[in-house]
Formats: sequence, structure tokens, C-alpha cells
Amino acid sequence: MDDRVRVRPSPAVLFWLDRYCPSVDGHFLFLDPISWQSFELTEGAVIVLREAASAIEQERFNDFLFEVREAGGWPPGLEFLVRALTELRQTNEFPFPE
Amino acid sequence: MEQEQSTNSTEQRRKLLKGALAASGVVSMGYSGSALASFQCVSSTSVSPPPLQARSTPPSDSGGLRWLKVPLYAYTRDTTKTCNNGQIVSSYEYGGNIYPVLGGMQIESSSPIYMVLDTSNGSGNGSVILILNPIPSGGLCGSAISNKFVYLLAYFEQDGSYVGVYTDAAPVMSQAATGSCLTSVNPNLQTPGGSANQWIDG
Repeated sequence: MDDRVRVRPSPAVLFWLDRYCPSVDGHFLFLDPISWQSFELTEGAVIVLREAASAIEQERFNDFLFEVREAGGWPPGLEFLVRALTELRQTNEFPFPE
Repeated sequence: MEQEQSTNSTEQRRKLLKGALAASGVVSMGYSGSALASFQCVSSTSVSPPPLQARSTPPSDSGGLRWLKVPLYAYTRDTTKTCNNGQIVSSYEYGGNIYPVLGGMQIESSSPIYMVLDTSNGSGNGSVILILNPIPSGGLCGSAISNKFVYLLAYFEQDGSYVGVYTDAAPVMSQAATGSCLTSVNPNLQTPGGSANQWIDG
């Protein structure tokens, strides 16, 4: 049997947004995975978080940070939440058969 | 060709990001036990609600569910209109204006009482309108025949989207919001006394 291993792509960041950033009555709630504080977000902020999550999952987060700078920089409070999402990246590589 | 499409896609994404950044707002709600409970509640509840009857009192055995007491306004239908089984109620009339019914409701001849959130204040919060024999497609309803209170349960889809409030026992295959989970999700919901989060235990 081929004992080489592959790294399974981690869906943890997007999963977190799906589960802990619900839309209720036109508002969005977000649970910070690090501090466990909750935040109320606008739809724009949620779009940024989702873009960040995709970038994290696709390992192009540095490119995302550059794009944010090019777009005018961070609005108050949002960079902190995006940085918290990066902590959800899967760090433990686990093998599974080819 | 592919490179051109990729460039366009990247440009679209950057435009989206720029607009989203400009429209971003973050308000800290702090560390709140009820807020944390809200996420669990919202993310774990689902609903396929049947038409339900209004309750004048909470059930004696609520199974841990919390009931909210809200004002109720009941209307009778315009007897010149026809209400057909299976039609969708999309709106209701109040004060001469037509307001949308959130989510729509299926008409069933066996359940002549339907509830909608009062959307006439623009938020859909705070009160409930009970329609007796509702009219599809925005037909006119008559005058209010009562102004009293009912007890409600709020339901959410698994993705967190708000479904509505219902007044009967928990539907089969569904979960209602429990405990304090709604207190931070929808703080505008108030009891008739005016203070928020006074949930009624059954």
C-alpha cells in the first residue's frame, strides 16, 4: 500500500463562519473563536470575513492582506476578527489513504 | 482567454472587497453568556412549522422552552373575498395600508387561524397579528376584533435565518429556541411591560 499521505484541506474557518456568524433579523452575529466575545456585524463586514476565510483556506492570506491595503485598509475592529479566524487553520496534518 | 477571465475574476473580487470594507461595521457585544447560548440555539434549531393555534397561556410542560408574551391583534377577513385552500397569504391590510407577511403562509381549510408578525412598524418585532381566515394576495381584512396577549415561541432555520413565531407546542422534527438564547439575538422583542428579555417560563 502506498503510505504517502496527503493533507486534507481544512474547512474549519468557513465552518466557523457558517456556524457562528448567523444572520438574524437583518443583523449578523459573530463569535470570536479566540476571546469568545460576540460582535454585531454589518453585511459588508461579513463579506470581508468570508473573503478572508476563503483566502485562509486557500493559503493566500498574505495576498488578501495586500488586497485590503490596496482597497484602503481596515475599518475599525475588523482586522482583529480576521486575525482571530487565522487561528482556526488546521495545524495538525493527518494522513488518510490514497 | 483563460488568463483574461482570471484577471476579470480577480478584479471583480477586489471591487467586492473594496465595497465590503467601506460598508463594514463592527459593534462589540462583549462576553455574554446569553449571546454564546444564542449561537448554539440559532445554529441548532430548525423548523417545519404547521399552522398553529394561538395560546392564551403557556403550556404546563414547556420542555424547557421559553415563551414570550406579546400583544395580539386579531382581524377578520373581508367576507367579499375568497380564501382558497393551498393559497399563500402574502400580505395583510392594516390602517388602509398593505404590509407583507414574512415568509408567507399556506392556507389550509382545517386551520382557519394564522399568525403573522406585525410588519407595519418596519421591523416585524413586538407584536403579532392573528388573522382569521386570511386573504391571499393582499386582500383586505376587516377591523380589529380584539387586542389581547398571546404566548409565542421563536424558530430559526439551521443557517440562523429567522423563521417566525408560533404559539403551539414544538412541531415534530423541529426545535424551538430555548433558554436565554433569544435574548441577544432579538433584543427588540419585548413583553407588554416594556422591558426586554422577560421570557415567560411555562
